[in-house]
This record gives sequence, C-alpha cells and structure tokens, in this order.
Amino acid sequence: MIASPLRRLGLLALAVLLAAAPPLHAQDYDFTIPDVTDTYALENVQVVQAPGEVIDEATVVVRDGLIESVGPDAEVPYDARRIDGDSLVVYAGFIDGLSHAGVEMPEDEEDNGDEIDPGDPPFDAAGIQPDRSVRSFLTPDDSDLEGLREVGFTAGHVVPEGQMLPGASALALYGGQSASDMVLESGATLFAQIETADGYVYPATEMAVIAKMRQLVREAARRQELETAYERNPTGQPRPPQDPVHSALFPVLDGDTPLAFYADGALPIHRVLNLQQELDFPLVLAGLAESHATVDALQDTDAPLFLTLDLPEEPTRTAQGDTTIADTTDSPSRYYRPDARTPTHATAPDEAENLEIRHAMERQDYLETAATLHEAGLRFGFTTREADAGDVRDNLRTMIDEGLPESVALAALTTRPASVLGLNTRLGTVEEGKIANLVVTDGSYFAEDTEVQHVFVDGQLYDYSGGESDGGEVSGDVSKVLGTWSYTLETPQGDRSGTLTIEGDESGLEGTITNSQGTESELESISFDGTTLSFTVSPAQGPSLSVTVTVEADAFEGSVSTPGPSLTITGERTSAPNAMRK
Amino acid sequence: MTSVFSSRLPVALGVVLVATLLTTPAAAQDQLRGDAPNDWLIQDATVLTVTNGTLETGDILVRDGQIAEVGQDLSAPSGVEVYDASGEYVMPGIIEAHQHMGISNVNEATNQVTAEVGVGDVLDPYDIGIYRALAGGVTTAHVMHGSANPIGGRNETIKLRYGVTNPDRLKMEDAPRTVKFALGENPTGLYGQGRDQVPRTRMGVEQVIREALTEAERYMEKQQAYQTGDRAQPPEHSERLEVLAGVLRGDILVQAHAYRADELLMLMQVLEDFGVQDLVFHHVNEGFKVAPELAAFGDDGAGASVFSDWWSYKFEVYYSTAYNAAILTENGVNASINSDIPGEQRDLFLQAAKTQRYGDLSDTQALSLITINPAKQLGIDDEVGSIEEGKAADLAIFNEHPLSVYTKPQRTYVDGVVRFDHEQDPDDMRLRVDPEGTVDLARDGWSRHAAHSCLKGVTHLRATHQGVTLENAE
Repeated sequence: MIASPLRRLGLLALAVLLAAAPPLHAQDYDFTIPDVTDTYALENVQVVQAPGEVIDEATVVVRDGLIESVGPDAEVPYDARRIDGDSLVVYAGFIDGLSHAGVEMPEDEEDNGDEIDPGDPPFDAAGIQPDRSVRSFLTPDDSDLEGLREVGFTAGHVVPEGQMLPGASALALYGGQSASDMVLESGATLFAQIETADGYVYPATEMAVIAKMRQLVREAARRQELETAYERNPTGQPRPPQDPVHSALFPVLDGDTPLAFYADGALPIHRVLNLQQELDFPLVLAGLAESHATVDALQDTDAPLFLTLDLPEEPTRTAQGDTTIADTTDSPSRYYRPDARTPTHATAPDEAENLEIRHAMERQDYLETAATLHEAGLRFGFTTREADAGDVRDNLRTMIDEGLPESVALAALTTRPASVLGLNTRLGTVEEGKIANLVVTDGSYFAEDTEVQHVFVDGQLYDYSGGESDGGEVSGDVSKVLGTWSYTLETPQGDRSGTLTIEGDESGLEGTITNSQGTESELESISFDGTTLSFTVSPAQGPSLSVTVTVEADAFEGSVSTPGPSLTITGERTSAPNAMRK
Repeated sequence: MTSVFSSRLPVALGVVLVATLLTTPAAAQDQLRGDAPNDWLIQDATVLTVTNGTLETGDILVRDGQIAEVGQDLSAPSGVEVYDASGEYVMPGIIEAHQHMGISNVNEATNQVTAEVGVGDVLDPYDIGIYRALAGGVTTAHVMHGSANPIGGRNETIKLRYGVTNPDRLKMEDAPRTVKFALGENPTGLYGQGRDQVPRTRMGVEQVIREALTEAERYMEKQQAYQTGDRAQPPEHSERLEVLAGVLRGDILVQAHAYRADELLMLMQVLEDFGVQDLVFHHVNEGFKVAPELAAFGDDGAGASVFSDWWSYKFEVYYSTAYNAAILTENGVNASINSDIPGEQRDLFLQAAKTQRYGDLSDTQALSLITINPAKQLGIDDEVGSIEEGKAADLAIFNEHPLSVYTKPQRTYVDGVVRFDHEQDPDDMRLRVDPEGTVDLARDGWSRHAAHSCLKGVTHLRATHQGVTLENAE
C-alpha cells in the first residue's frame, strides 16, 4: 500500500534531480548486473549448506539463476564474476513464511454511490474475496522487498491484503524485473484472518467472521457435491448454483489448498484452531505472537507454523521517577510481588513499581516465545508480516539470547519454511541445482557485528558490501579519480550537466555532486577498484540513486540506474588535486 | 532501533533472575490454579442448600469437584483438604442469568437477525470481570449476545473457572444452547430510528421475528423434502436458519430481552404459534402486570430474569417496581435476578436480599432467585443451583448470612476448586497484561463507561427533545 506512493515519490525525486541534473543513479535494488554477466563465483567461502552442515572452505558457483556447484573443488567458469570470499559465509536465502512483501493492493475504489445493506453486503465489501489472487498485485518495485532482502529474505509466501478472506497467495522470489519473474507458484494457500469487514457492515465482529467462515465452507461443500453429481449426469438435473467465491473454496475442501491464517493473539489462535477442528480444513498458521500461552493447543495441530519476527517494545513511560524496573545484579533488590496489596493511596507508588515489574515479566514471555515453542517440540518458520525489516536481526538475536538455539533459528529461516511450503527441492539449502538464493555475510549471521554483504535472488546479485556509511571499498590507484569532474547526463528530456568533486585516499573517498543549479549533495558509499567508480546519492526526497562508471584517463562513462530505464552518464576531469595523494 | 533493543536486554536479563526467584516465595499465588485440589471437606458451616432447607453445623464433602456428601460430622478421607467454616455460611454458587463479561464481542448489530453468531466463539478467559464475579460468590454465568437485534446471537453458559486460558474450558459442557431475542426500544432505536429500516415499532419487531421463524420452518421443510426424496437438492446451507430451526425443534432456548407487558404477551403469542415452549424473558420490568400469563405459558411457564430495583434508564422502563421479583414469584413464575452489566455482577446476593424488603420473600425464596431459579431458566438445574449430592461443587462461602447487608464473601469454589479466597485476594489478579501497554493501577478503578453493556459497540442512548434515541457509537 505504501509502495505505490513511495514509488511515485521516487520518480518525482528523480525528475527533480534530472531537471537540475545531479546525475545520479538508482540504487542497489535496480542494480542490473546481467548486462555484464550472470555467472558468479564465491571463492573460498564458508558454506552453511543447511543448519549444522558446514563446509569450511569452498567455492559456490552461480549461473543462470541456479547454484551450479558447491565444494572445495568447484570449477570457476571463465565468465564468472569472482567474489573473493575470504572470511565470508554463505547461507541459503531466507524464506518468509507469510508477508505482504512485493504486494501492492489497488487503491480502494471510491464510494460508487451504491447503497450497501450493512447486514448483507456483497462479498467484496464483506472482505470475502478468495477468488482473487495475490499474483495480480505483485510488483518487484515494492520497497518492502528491498528492506527484507537486505536482511537476507529471498523468497516468501506472500498474501494479499484484506479482511477475512483476502485471496490466494503465491510463493514468490523477493526480487526480479517483473511480477512474472517473482512467481514460483500461484495459489499455494488461501489467506484468511479473523478480521471484520471494513466499515460497519457484516461481519462487524469476530463472532460473525467465525459464523461466516462456517457458512462459506459448509455451503461450498454442498455446492461441490451438487456439482460433482451434475458432472456425472447433467441430463434432467437443475444446474447447480455457482459463484467464484464458493468455487474458490473447493480445493480447501479437497484438502489440497490450506487456509493460511494469520493470528497473533492467544484468543485468535484458539479461535482459528477451533474453527479448523470444527470444519476440518488444511491449515497454515502464522503470527503466533502470544503462542507461548497456547502451546498445549498448538501441540494438537499439525499445521505448519510461522512465528512473527516482531517483538513487543517497552512502552514509553509518561510517569516520572525511577522506572528502572528490574536490576541486573545476581540478587535483585526488587521483584514482582503477586500478593501485593495497596491499602491506601500512599502506597500507590509501590504498586506502580510492582506492576512495572509485572509488565517486564510479561514482555519477557514474548521474547522467549520462540524458545518456548522449540522446547515444546513445535517446529516453526518465521513471518515478517508485522515486523520491521530493520528489527529482524535484533529480534532474532533476542530470541536466541532467550534460549532459541541458533541452528533452530537458521532452520526456521531456511529449511523449515522450504519444506512446509513445498519448496525444498528448489530452495532452503546451498546445494547444486537449487535456485541461487543466497545470503553472504562477513560472519555468523546471528552475531551483532556481522554485516550482510551480498544477497542473491534467483542468481541476481544485490550487493551490500558498500556498507551503509561512507565506507565504500577502495583499492587501486585513487589518483585516477581524485579532483573535479564535469559530467553530462543523457536524459529523455535532453542532456544535463554539473560537477563532481572527489577527495580522499585509499582508506576512503568522499565527494560531492553539484547540479547545474548549484545544488550540492554528498556522495555516499564511494567505491573504486582502479577502474570502476561507484557511489550513491540520497536526495532529500525519494530513493537514493546509484552511479557506476568506468574511469579511463581523465574521462569516465557509465550509467545511473533509476526505477525506470538506466541513463548514460559521461564525464571529464577538469582539475586534478594540487597535492597528488598516491 | 538499536536503542530499543539495548534498553530491552538488561531488563530482560533482570527479569529472568526475578522469575527464578519468584518461584520460591510461598506467598506467590498460583493464579492459574492448575494444580489446585478439587477434594475438600468444608466443616461446621451453616449450609443453605436452597432445595433441602438449612443444615446447622453442617459439613460438605467434595470429591473430584462434585458434592459427594452433605451431612454432619463427616470425616475427611486422606488427601482431602479441610476448610473450617465454623461460623460461616455456605450457599450454592450464584448463577448469573444475564451478563456480558468474558466475551470479546457483544453485538453483531448489522442485521436484524444474526442467530448464526455466538458469543461462545469469542469467549475471553482473561477478563478480570470473571474474577470480580467470583469475588461476589458467582460460579456460573450466562454470557449473552447484546440486545441490538430482534434476533441476536447465541449465548453461552460458562463456569467461572478463572485461571484457565483456553476459552473452551470456560464452557459449561452440557448446558443447553440458548439464543438472544430482543424486543422494544433497543432494536427499534437502532434499526428504525438509526437506520430507517425495519423494525421501527414493536409491531415491526414482531414482524421480523415471525418472518425469521417462518423462514426457518420452510428451511426445515426443504431439508425434510430432500431427505424423503421429494426434492432433488438440499436447500442452500444457512447457519442462521440452522439455529432458528433449533429453536423450533426445542433444542435452543429463547432468552428474550423485553420490558413491557404488551411485548411480553406478543412474544408468547408468537412462540405459541410456532410451537416453541422454552422461553425466558430478561429484564421484564412490567412482568408484574402479566405474571399469571407468564406462569401459564407453555408447559412450564415463561421464566423471568429481572433486576432488583433498576429502572428509569430509558423510556420503556419508567413503569417499574422493586416488588417485581416478589410478585412474579408469588404468582408462580420462575424468576431470577441478574446484573447484566459487567461490574455489577459482584453483589447479586444483596440484590436478592432486596426482595425481602420489597416483597417479604423467605430466605429460601430470595436465594432461589440467584441459584436454582436461574439454573432452571438455563436448563442446568440438574448440575448446579443447589447444594445436593451429585451436583457440581460450586459453592459460595460467606462470613454472615448471604442476605445480610453485613455479609462478605469468603471463598468461592467452582467444581471444587477455590477460585476466590478472601484471604488471598491481592490487587493484581490479572491473568495477563499488555506487554506494550501502560500500567493500570488498581485504584484507577473501574469505569462503567468502559464496560460492556448490552449495547456495547453499537449504540448509546441519547435523550433529545424528540425522545430517547439510540445512536451508533462508531
């Protein structure tokens, strides 16, 4: 939903920049390597093929979107782009158990003036759209994809947004040039929630949503029976009633398509499990934020589980005074007193302190949910639906600190979702023949100071090795780029020109870009390897743009990648620095 | 983001240590009461059986959650805990015939007929209101759909097993199913005045109910015809009509919100026409006007669950009397007293006592209003509602006679498990708190405004120069 305005904003920002010229350039998510090569060799890397299966030093060859070979002796093809992997670790790309990543729902239609009977609204107004598919709403431009890719997610079970039955899901890659590129499988599940209709129409309460689910499933069963009988012998039979909504539920009745429910709260979890027991449909259950309170009930189901990567945050206290609610020494001076009583208002501060501790304890249960499920023998993957991509790694670390074994966390990111989503022949491990979805880090993924360096989706490289700060990788003779440059950017609206200044040395480069109107912007993540110069520019609005040029003598030529077509940029050095640093 | 994380971690660490320490103090209250015993010998109490008189210095032996023996000088078998109730009074656990606590939704106020929905699907065992009811000696509650629709949803009879977190465990397993009907100003205000739909008048309410039951009759006929082969296809499945068919078959008891004498007579007429025998009216402020007619309904009469002395909160309840329960009782109507509003469920024993001031009912008659009578209205009197061998050990213990204004509840047993104990009644009895929420202090108190009323989520009353109206709250 936010993606489409963002994208518009991005284009707008680009237009502003182009008009005034700073030649800039689209950023990593549109980094189109295939122009050069689609073969990569990650050399001398540590390969975590699957949880617990590690090759200490090996080469991973990626070609044509697949993992061509993995092993100490893997041959590096002549056309491969070599990535020196000393100290790098390669994991299988992570698989998201349920999300709206890559999904842009159409804007709600404006009130078309039709009067809706609140007690009996049409299916779409009631949030009942199992006949839709997320396939039609997929776009690789959704900004959520970028954030999730950066933390290692390369594929997922994506579902449409909506209310009780928003539509069919897809198993999708978290990258690609088009929606078609993204789709691994359509219609894997039907997404469902105990979610009331928008506005005050039926079902306006959870109990009505539950009643409506029963109604739909049981009526679909009746229609399916009639249809089967009719197909056997239509002559002399009234045509069975038909509509796309009920028909969409037939595969659920057949046991072929699960209803994939999202439920975070303990009560919704119980409600979904009860409904499933009653109506007997195949179930996938995601969310589970409060599943530490529903372990017994979950043990009775064989539904695939996906635990949210969101964790509760400590509320901001408005109260003054000491809100340090628990000390960290071996013998805490204060602990929650469940039997506390507050006889007068004079002791209310004690009560407040006591209850603060209760709140902290309760939050603790959530931090331990993953460990609790694991200890109860429940296997699960993860869902990013309610999580901020930026919190994912912190939250995983918290779960591990609270008792979730690292190998189980890794399995929950890779092999577990691959297997329950039926993707294990194609995804989930670093093995020959699998789709080249990889996460390349500079250390254990779960260590705090580890950075994700590269992510491959379907064999396409997303390079984060530039880092987020100005710490681009610099090597080779930097004197080739130092100084002031004039540039020309070829745009559909004509050429734009401006100046570019680069300073620094091998330890790092910095610089600015000034457009024809004199607006100056900082260059970020400047990398130079002796011939190729790349950097990004983040305009005040819109996405940052990245520029890659080849430098030869006192000239450069290259491209600016944009959300639209890439643009050509050329430049000439107008002055070299006074004091040549080597 | 990182700052959030780093601030969380030390707290978390601290709490781990805290949690380990916590398991030891003897004072720690096991709110979940997972291992609480359900074998007890309650000794030397004044036992108010309600159905079999009063036993002075009586004992009650509870085995496996049931009343095993009632008598004098019983001895405790090994492993059975003893509670010395000398000087105290034991009565059957109070049965609240009309409440809206312990449920996440009250009204599906979008359609005049919503028999297919049920509050049993959205029970909320975390509701502190359940504990508050226990603190008033209540052990069973009929939690109801609201009164927005002429035919609302199904209600649920729950045992107040506060401490369980699986909603299903609140359900009283064998209780008959019931469905809410509502007459008068609530539906006419919401649909007629609020939305310009049927019903705008009491006539309209009758029409809606008759139409719905007629539709259910036809639905049953079609099902029948399909089964006998007279019809090629089964009728389109309807959760709504399935429930109403249950009403027509007598499987599902009608529990109707109604105030005025004319509408009481109307609904009895309607149900008679459809052959429905089971009917309990709720509120029934004008029941005293038609008590003999209520008593004459069907085979067993229509029940009446009333307020003690609450009225004048809207136009249709101006004509009321505190003698209502007594008049109904004296006329042979099975009457009960309910509290309806969460927060008011704590002093039903005092509400029942008012019938001694207003109507001079006997102790047993007054206690029956909150025990065996509501049990009969809910079809659960073979299991609860009196102190009899074989019934569930749902017991409320008071320090004084429960009809005394000086009485205080001491202990409440549900299925033999102590779910409320005055000696161990700390401030914080919540089963959970919102981990991201703010801290609510006990003395912040309860707000009537925030509670579930029978019109929660839909409407509020508004008095204007044109009269009293109900408006959508949202």
